[in-house]
Amino acid sequence: MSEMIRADSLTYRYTDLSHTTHVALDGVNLHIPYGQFAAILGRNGSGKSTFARHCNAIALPSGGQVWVDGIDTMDADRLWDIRRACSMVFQNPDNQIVATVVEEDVAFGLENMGIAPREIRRRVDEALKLVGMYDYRMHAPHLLSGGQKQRVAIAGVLAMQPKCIVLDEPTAMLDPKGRADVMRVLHALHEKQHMTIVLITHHMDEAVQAERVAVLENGHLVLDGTPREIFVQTKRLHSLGLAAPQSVQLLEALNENLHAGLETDALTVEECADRLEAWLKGGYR
Amino acid sequence: MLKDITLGQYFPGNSMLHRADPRTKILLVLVVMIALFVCSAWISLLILACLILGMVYTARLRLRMVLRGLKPLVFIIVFTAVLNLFMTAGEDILWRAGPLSITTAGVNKAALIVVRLILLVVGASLLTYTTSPIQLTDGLERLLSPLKKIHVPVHELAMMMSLALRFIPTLVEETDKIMGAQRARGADFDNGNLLHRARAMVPILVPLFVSAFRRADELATAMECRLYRGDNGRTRLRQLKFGRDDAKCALAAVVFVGGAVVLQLVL
Amino acid sequence: MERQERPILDVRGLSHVYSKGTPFEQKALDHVSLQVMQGEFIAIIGHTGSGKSTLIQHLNGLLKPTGGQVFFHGQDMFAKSANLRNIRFQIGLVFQYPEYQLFEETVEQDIAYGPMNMGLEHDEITRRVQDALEAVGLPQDISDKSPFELSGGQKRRVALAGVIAMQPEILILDEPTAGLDPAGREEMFDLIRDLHEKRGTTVILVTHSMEDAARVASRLVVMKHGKIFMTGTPAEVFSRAEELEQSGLTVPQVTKIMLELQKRGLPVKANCFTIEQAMVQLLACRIGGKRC
Repeated sequence: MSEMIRADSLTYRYTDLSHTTHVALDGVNLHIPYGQFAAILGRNGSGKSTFARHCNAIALPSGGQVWVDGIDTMDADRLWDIRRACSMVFQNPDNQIVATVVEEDVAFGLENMGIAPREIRRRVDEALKLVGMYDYRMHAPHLLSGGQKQRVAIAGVLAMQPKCIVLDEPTAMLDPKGRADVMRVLHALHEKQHMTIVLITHHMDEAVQAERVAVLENGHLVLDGTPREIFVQTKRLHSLGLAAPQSVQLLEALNENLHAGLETDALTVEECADRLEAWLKGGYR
Repeated sequence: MLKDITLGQYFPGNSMLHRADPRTKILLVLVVMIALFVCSAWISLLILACLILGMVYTARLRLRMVLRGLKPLVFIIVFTAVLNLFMTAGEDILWRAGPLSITTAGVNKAALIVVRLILLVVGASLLTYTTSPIQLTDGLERLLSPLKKIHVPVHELAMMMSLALRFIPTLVEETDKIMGAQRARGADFDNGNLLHRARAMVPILVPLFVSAFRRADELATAMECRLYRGDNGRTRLRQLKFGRDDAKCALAAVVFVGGAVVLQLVL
Repeated sequence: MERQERPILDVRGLSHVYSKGTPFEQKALDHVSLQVMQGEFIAIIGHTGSGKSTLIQHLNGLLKPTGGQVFFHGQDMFAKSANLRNIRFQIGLVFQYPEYQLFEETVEQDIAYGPMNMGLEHDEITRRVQDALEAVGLPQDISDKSPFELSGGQKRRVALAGVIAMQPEILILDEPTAGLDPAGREEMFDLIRDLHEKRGTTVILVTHSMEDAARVASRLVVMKHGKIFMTGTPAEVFSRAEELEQSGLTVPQVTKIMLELQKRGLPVKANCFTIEQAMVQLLACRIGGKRC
């Protein structure tokens, strides 16, 4: 199979304490090819975290099927292979760090896999260097900042050399600097290691940097395309509880109020400045 | 502030004692402790004291800091000493007041107890001062691993211990935060009688427990995602190996402890 | 906005050093002075570790200064004669992720915790709980539910209601929108704006988002390394947008766009933080540009 993650009419139902049944995912078809950087957006409760949990069989479909690296996640015998292929990073960095020393934590997954000590050492050092935390390898995790902790958590799954990393709102609890550092690491992994990355987020500026954006609403996949295709739909996004980048909003406002006739699909500061510069100089074609 | 309490006092360093295998250190501390109980001759205790103080010096620990560690135990030490001082029967009575009397034997025994207890505590704290909690759990896990044969969950206990060590600072910080938040809503933890104070703890304990359970749940999922399945097939980053430092420590201990015990038996 | 002459909160030369006299000594606040007027809406912005959290914990007496003073209505908060507990009822502090402090069996009981500690009458407490629920936009029938069965967003509102029910004169909020989605953030800001406008509550908002701060507050206080780095109206602070960006504070994308245009030699001002302001600037420039 050619996809890293393939969800076919994925449905997930659960019953809460008061015996009400909820449908968190309802017939979602989403295929993520190898090496893609995909962002999944949606308001709280849209089902995006539930989708993430299906990507390495923490949750199993109530209907439909999910294949990870070509393996059906219902195949209990291959759980180990699924989780080796696809790792996961969670929102709260505190609750996924196991050890009292940074490097011991990064080693945790490798130790579970039964890797030889010398190879563990090599991979731990490599992973810590990749996320820029090598100098902190002997530190106690609880003394690190949120962004640093999250990078340690990423190093921990990275060392296991998965084909894909799914991150469930990894930046929600971080400050702007921590967020930027984590995003930088994700881009490096994607570009240099050709890692498949699935980023669940509600920060539009992060989703803009992905190759593909999928939007969930009420358990349905409602939008799916490149950031450029998705983020020009300002009104649709607003109705989904999301916001387009200010660059798009600004260009659209100029069109609406001043009939500027600008193309609105500018996602970055530079692109937007290019268009505005041309318009201001009166030479916009 | 809760944050100021240090737990599992470990003072990082690179001395022979720091580098030695935790298993060696645990075993040696046990041997020294037994020796301290066996020996009652002053010369033997002097030799053991030399060993322990020598180790403190080798580990580059400041004596004043080590002695400060005795503070919480001062009461017990004084209590035992006083008990022995008055309760030991003997021939030559030095002082008497009613039913209480002090004998030469009593003085001797009390002094002996004080020296023994101090050496015992300093010896044991040498282990925690020079061994990080994670090494200590590792060492204990390896030493106790034969017990797995009789179905003692050694690995699980060690894992629980290291997770507890990992989460203590996190939960302490969280307690601080919750206390602050409830104080901001007028909670009063410092006044009132015992019952009142106990009840004032509810607004801290409930959120703390809820949070601890949530953390435990998330942690369990994260560990599963990182392929944790207990002890089977697990390797370790840090291999425990006996080396030169262990030999040196062991040699020093054997010479001193041996000397002390021999003298005890001869005299 | 009607301002009184005397500030409601007057911070004078406030310093705080953590773990003083140990190797872990850390200066978190360094001679900070700040006046807050009655009915003001100010935002304190800064990185993690800039001292903003330490500062607000002094403002309701949770931390004691190692130097300087804080006056509330002209009274020294840390004087021996001051009753800190009573002051806390008048200066409500909502911590980050406040939903983690909920502990009672029902929403109503939880919200009533503060008013109960104030020693209010039963009827008054009931009235205040209802009023607080309304203020945070939650339905009255939620009050018998357990706070633990609510959604994340609802829990946060209940926690906020717990502080509002004390009817504080000043409301301090530490990152009230952390972890919320864009729609949730919007709702939270609407709610805070309502509290400020309809009830006249003085609001101090702590955030690391320049964008959020500029949108809701009438005065910004930017902190850096335990000191006040900049202060003024959003327009004043954003007129130094370049400095803000250089010091690593994230300014809104629209500000960045204007800075970029400025860099390219176009005669625009970069002190914009909303789409509308940018549009006005661009229009002025376009008209001016055609002339030359």
